[in-house]
Amino acid sequence: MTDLLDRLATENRATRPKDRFEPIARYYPEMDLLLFLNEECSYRSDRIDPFLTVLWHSKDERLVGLKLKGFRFIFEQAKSILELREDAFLPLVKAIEIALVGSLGELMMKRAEKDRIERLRDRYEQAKQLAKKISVPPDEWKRAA
Amino acid sequence: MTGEEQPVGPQNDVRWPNIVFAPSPANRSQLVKLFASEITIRQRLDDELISSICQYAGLIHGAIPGGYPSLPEAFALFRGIRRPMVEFERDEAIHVYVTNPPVDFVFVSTHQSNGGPQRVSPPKDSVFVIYSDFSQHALDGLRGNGDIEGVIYDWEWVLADPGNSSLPDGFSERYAERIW
Repeated sequence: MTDLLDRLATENRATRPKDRFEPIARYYPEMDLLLFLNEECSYRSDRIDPFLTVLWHSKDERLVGLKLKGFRFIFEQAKSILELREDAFLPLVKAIEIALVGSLGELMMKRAEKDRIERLRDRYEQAKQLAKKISVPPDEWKRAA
Repeated sequence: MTGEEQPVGPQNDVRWPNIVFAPSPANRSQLVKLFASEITIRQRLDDELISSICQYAGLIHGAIPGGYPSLPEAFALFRGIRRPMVEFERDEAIHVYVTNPPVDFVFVSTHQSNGGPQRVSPPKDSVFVIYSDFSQHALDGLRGNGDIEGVIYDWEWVLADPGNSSLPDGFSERYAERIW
C-alpha cells in the first residue's frame, strides 16, 4: 500500500485506483483537451499539429491513444455556424467521448499510424537522396575501417 | 537503479499530497510552492489512469519509495502554449517545465496489497513536462492557500526534439517563449 496514493485519493475526494481500467474518452476542462486512451500505460505524446496529439506506448512502437486539443475553440467556431447554444457544449463533448470509445478513436489512431509510416518513408527517401550527393574521400573510409 | 543524484531543497511532504516545490519562473535558483489541481487528480483517479497518477507520485511529488521529484532540476521553462485559443490569456499563462528524469513510474499490483508505483527505465527519446499556471485566474480557484504561487494542471512524457534531446520536439513552434 502506498500512503501517498491513499492521501491523494482522500484529499482529492476520489477513489484509490484498483487496476480495473477500461478504454476511456474524457474531456479535461483545465487543459481544454479531450483524451482518448484505450490502454492504461505510460505513454509518449507526439504532437501532430495544434489540434491533434497521438500517444505512443512508452516502450513499444504502438499507438495507445490520442488527444484532441483546443476543444473549446472548435466549439466556439461551430457555435456561430450551427447556431448552437452554450448548453450544447457538454452534450457535444459527451457525444464525441462516446464516439471515440466506440470506434472513432481506433480509426483515428490507425490513420495517424499510417501517416507516420508515410512520413518516415518520406524522410528515409530524402535521406537517401542526400546520401547520393555526398562523396566520402578514400582516406575517410580507411579511418572508419 | 543506483547512482542517480537526488534533487535537493525543500522536501515535498506526504501529508500534503497536492503541494510540490518547483523553480520560480522569475529566479530558477529559488523554489516556489505549486498546487496540483484537485480536478486533475480526481479525474485521473476516477478514470483509473494509474500510470499518470504514479508519474505524479514518483516524478513530481516524489514522497514514495524511490521517488524522484524532478521539478527542482528542471532543464528549461517555457511560457505560452501555441494552439487554437479562445481564452487568450489562459494559454499564454500556461508554463511548461521540462525535466529529464532518469526514471519513470508504473503501477504494479500484487496479491498481497493494493499495489503501488514501481520505478522503471524512462521512455526513450522523451522528456517529462509539467504544465503549470501562475495567473491570478488559476490562484483564485484555490481555497485558503496564501503562499501557493501556481497550479499544476497536467504532466506527461513527450517526444524529444531530434536536435536537442533535452527539450520537447518542435519546442520553438509549440511555445511562445523560453523563460530560462
